[in-house]
Amino acid sequence: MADSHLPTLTPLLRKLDSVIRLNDEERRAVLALPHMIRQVGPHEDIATVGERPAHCCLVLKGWAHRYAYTATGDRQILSFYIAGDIPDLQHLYLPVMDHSLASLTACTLAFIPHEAMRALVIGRPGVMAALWRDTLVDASVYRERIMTLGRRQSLGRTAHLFCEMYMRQRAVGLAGDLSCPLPPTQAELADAVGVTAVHFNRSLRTLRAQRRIVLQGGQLTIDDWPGLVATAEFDPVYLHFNEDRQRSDERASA
Amino acid sequence: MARYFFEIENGGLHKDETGTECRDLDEVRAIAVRTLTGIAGEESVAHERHTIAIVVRDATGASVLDATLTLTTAWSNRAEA
Repeated sequence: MADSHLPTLTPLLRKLDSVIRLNDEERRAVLALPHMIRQVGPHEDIATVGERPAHCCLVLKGWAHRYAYTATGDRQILSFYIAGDIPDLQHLYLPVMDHSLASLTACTLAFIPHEAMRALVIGRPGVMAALWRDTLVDASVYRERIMTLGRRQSLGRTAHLFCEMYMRQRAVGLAGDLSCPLPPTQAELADAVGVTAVHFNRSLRTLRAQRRIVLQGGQLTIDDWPGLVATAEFDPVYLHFNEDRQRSDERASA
Repeated sequence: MARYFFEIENGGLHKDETGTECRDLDEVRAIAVRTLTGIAGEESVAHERHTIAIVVRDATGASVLDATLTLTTAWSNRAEA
């Protein structure tokens, strides 16, 4: 996307805007946060278990992921992060990393000092609420994943992940027209869904045969959104997009 | 590391064109067993007797492992609906 004329931290503003409305002064303060840009290649660790990060890591471009390994070497991908996400925001208040964070694709990252994040929220209750909301939505996404991984079958889990990644990218302007980037490999998607790559392949084949989706060259195209939503039992309420805006729109039309 | 191809036989044969990288033969077996039990967990509830099989082939097409899972349920005493 040709965003070169926009301030560097615009993806963060878009993300916060997708959950809460900020006023002009708050928006300017977010964009003025001091930061250090770092380019990382695919599959590079950004922070690992036990570390004490001094910066928040904001994804500006590319995909990152949280993961953990069992003692026998099985990986679980805990979550994927896209532009505008601050995957380690909770470490502003929880000093020690309890999981590992790594790039998935090549990424452009902005590291914002914890001190600057703490200073940002002083006297700006709107920004404080936005960061709170962002962290709470992250928790809500995890609750939905417990439900999905615990009780849904591979086909439903796969469909659910596709619905979520499309909706999240659409909310920050990275997707539209039922098509979005989906760069993880099939092995990585299988580790996110919690089945073997062979089983994941079978689910993917079924979704394809049912003409729900096409996944090719890292691009997901959804051919049958209502069908995919039904297979996934997907209800986007847990993503909490634009709830304030909807409420004020409802008030305006009442 | 080598690539192995897992064909699933479950009422119809599904060829595997992608393949999966495996560290060693123990991992080949582990993936075959987990895939069988995973599919059975999802699809066997609807059947009284259900057989799923996986044939694993190496890159030359030679079979390296044959794994079969048959799940049978039998009622002891259930009145016909």
